Amino acid sequence: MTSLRPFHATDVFKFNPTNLDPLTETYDLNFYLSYLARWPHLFTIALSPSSPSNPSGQISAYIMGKLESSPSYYITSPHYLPFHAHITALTVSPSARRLGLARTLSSSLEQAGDEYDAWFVDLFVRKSNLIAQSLYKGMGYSVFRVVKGYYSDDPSDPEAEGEDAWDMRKRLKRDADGRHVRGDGERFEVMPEDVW
Amino acid sequence: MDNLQDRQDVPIWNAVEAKNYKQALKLVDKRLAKKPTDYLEAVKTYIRSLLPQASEKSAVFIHLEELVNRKSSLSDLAAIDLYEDAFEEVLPGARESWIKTIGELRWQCVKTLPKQEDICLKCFRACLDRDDLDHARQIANSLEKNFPKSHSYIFWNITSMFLFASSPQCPESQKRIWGGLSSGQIGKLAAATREATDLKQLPVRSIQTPQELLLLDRITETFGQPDQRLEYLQDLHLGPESAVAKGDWALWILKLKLMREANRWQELFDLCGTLLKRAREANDSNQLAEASFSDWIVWEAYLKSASKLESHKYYDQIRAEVEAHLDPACKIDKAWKRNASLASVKLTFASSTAFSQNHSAANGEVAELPPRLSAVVQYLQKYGDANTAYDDLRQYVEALESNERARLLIMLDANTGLERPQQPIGPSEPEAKSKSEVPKLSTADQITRAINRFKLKYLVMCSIPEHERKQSLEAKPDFKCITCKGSCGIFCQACLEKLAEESINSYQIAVNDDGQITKSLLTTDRHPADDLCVLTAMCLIKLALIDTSSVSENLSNSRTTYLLQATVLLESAWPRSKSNFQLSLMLVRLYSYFGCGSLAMRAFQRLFLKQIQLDTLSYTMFDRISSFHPHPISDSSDGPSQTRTLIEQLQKQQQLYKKSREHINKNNWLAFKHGSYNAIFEFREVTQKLSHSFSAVMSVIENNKIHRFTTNTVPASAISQMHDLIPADIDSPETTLSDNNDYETFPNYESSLAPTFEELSRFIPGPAETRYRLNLLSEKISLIVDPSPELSGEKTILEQSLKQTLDSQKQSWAASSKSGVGSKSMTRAEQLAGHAYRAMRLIITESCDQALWAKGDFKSRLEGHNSELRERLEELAGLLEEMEAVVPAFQDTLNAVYTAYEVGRTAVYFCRFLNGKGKTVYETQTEASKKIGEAAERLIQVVVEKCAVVKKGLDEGGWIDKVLESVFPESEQPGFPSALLVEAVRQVPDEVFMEEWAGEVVESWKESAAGFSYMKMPSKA
Repeated sequence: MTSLRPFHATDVFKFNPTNLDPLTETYDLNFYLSYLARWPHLFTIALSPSSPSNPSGQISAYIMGKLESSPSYYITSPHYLPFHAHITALTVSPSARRLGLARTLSSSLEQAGDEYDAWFVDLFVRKSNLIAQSLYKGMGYSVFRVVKGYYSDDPSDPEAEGEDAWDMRKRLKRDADGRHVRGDGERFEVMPEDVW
Repeated sequence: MDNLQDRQDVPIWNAVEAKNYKQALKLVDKRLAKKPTDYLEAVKTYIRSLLPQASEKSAVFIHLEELVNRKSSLSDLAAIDLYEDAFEEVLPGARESWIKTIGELRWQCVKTLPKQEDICLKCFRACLDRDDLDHARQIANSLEKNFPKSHSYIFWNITSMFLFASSPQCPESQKRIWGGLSSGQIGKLAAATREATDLKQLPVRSIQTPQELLLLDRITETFGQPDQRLEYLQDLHLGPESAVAKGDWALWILKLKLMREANRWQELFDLCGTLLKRAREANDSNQLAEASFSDWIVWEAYLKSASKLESHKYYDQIRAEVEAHLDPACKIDKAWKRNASLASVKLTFASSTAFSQNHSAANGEVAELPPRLSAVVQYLQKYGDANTAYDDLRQYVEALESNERARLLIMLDANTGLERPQQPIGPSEPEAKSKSEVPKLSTADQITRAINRFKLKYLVMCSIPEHERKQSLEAKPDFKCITCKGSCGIFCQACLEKLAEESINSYQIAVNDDGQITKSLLTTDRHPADDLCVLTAMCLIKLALIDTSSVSENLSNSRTTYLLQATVLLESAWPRSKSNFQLSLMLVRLYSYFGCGSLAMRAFQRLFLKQIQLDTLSYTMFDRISSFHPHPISDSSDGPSQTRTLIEQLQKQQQLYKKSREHINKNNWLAFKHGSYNAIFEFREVTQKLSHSFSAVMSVIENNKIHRFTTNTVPASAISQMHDLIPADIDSPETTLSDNNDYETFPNYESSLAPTFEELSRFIPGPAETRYRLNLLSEKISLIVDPSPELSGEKTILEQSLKQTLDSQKQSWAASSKSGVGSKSMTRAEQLAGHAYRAMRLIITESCDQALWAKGDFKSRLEGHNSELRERLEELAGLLEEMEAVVPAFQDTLNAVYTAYEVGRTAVYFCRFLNGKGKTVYETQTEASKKIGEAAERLIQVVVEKCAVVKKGLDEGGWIDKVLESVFPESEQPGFPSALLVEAVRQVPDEVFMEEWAGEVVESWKESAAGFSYMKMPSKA
């Protein structure tokens, strides 16, 4: 079954089913709490069935998001980001994959983005993470730009110095004309310092 | 130089930085003589706080107290900051004193300068950081009054009042006052929102955000009228559909919950029906914008309300809604469709009638099944290739009648009727049957289907009957297995063996796929067949639990054979699924059982725990590490992180607790700033859980024990470290520790009514508050009697604390002593040691308390405590002497040996400690201590002898062969694995792997035994 609810601060004690997976980073407490302090409505978890030993159900996936724009002093920059929603983390536990939870959770963030009148939702994904890219493309995201050497490591190649990120976007209701998305974003390369 | 206010102060701060405090004081006095200011006064106090003399520190504190009572308030924030720094130097972490001095100074400052917003905010934040809720409340109130146009400050004031009212800091008599005020004020704001005509321009004093609505609910729950919460949530302007709510799902969750609690079944039914309909209806842009209304909690509430309304028409409506969701034309996401499918299963169980004739008509065989079984099978057909199918169905299979379960088992066994309906099925068709005997396991979907089938078989064949048998154990010690019809105990050997064999055979087929799946796996992937291996290991572990006989050799019993087989399988699965943390969790437990410390640590390191995971999962390795493997682990086969010593690892965990306070404080403030009021209360919960964590106590205790074991003493900071990480109120009977440990991440395919597999597979009692409290007591005693001179200064405080808490705990002890304290949470050795430590505590506190000496029964009481201590030490020695199967030393042996050594050594120091007290100890104690000393020395002697037996045994050759013989016994014996099972297990690892692995196991035993060399008779004082 699928049930969503807002992430509670005490869920950090229970998120091992997702966070023990090597592709999910476990940050310090400050990271999770700062999202809860600023965007509690954009931090959502999906739960699996409850049982007498675990009446609240097990965490099977979660999404961390935020709503923001670049600082005002950046407004003249070509890389200025207008008010938008951002997917900071989206993770599904190995035992709950292929159930559509990633799609369900990102839809919830898109909906919140619309509710708060954001222009688009964006996210970063590793260039090598083809599975995630195809998932996002299937959900209507497209590449807006390529951030060269955004990641300091490359899990598929320990020798490599870093890996590019794809900055992918999906426009929301406010961007009726598609001003903030591109069909050929793979051609636009920027450096990590250009990304706010 | 952060505190620099004037260029003329530079020389003062230079002197401070150079630690030339005498010079700094001279300079500040000179400046004060010319121009006395609050700031310079504060600088002087700060410099004095840096001086090492206790008299200076005490003078600083007295000065701070005087400042609070001065007529004119301080208004220089820089001066207050300096006083706060001085306070930290004098009384670090003393919250109560901080509140009375610095907190009060800050509040006085705000009162003096109420319009200085920046100063007020800084003071508010400082009070929040120190959990000084009363002053924070007063400052928030001042902010609201002085900045009436600020919407935020209204809510800060309400939140602060409610925080204070809900905290232990608030006197009982004031709780209702502040709680009532917060409730009254937010109620008025709610009324303003309700009455507003223009929702786009709400007045300042109104509720305007979802977080404010959640705060309203939270306060109303505690201090409002019982029906008021639901009333607010039903309101058009305050409920989840209001503009203010901005679609926040948390409000819907609350509303549905409260409607259930209020038994508003008809309303709830109608609401759920509406929500589910809206979920599948597209909006003007042809989008399913409200699809999340198909959440499982809505379906559950829908079904619950229908069951309460007791009419079939309601079930019919649900059935129609399910069909509408499952209609191929409905484009709702598959996660939501799955909810509808599961709702149909639940509906069938609730109504106990066939759900849909049409559905079963598509599948002739299923149509012949009883409705409830049919529902389970249909779900399995549809979602059997999803990992979660087993978890989804578990509770429904448990609810089936035994004859239905028997039918399901036949289908599971024959693997018929479980595929998607379009595939040809039918048990009566010989062709189909032969196909089912060799299941195809070449794709992830096929493997997942097989796994779900095996898990369900395990549930029906093993877990449910085991639970049922356990329930009637007293009445009937021997059972006839309902599945195989053979005689059995709680666990049925025949069924478990059959399942283990089938499951491991399937695993073998799945992984030997000519690389079809295996070669395409990334290093971060796991093999889809892993659960087959885990399930086999579970069966083997249960089979091991059947053998409770005590034998003279560890490697020659069936328990060891089964457990070694489980270990081999999991270890051989790991290289192709390195990211599978469930394999690692099980391996940590198994290696720990075998006493293979270095291998357990290797498996533990594979989890790569960090940050908060150090609180929730450290117990898997570090709980009892001091009585398992207290010496440094030399194995470094898994990379550089392995070289970190045990103490470093425990200290890393302790850093987490220290850092987390800072993180929580920082975000508390951020939450206020961003109006995330609900988060503030959640953060408090996290603080409470971390500050009272089982694992924090464990880390302190184990750290000290390891230190003491390896270096014969503890660091000078041991006592302050204890005060820093162990909650100050720990000895209060009202205080409970928080069990934040994660037991749920362990694999668990057991019946939901039975204990989890994590519990079942505990070979030694798990974490428990009783044990941690007893450990804290033993630690205090060990520190008091420690001969190290570095600790002498703080020992008196510990002695006082022993005495203070004695009375509050006497009663509970008396009761627990009779019932055998901690018999469920401790090993036998730990229980005996526990009694010994308690006796030591009583002797220390009573024999030195001259006020008690005159009491009539004192002498006999003291004699009683001494006899108790002596007898427990003797019992422990006896326990060790009786232990036969000690080579190689498994966990139970190691635990007994190390526990006995520790208590024996403490008892020796205890006697020396009392002897050193001279005439301040009751006169008969000297003689009694002598006898105790003798018993303690004898105990240590027995420990040393036992260790010598283990070491000698391991030094003999042939252990690798013995391990291999134990894993794969050559002949079949009763109670041991059948030849078929042995053969099935043998197929998984190759010979090279087996030899290497057996070598590692033997090396690990030898490495564990290296710790014995640390155990020696304490040198004569």
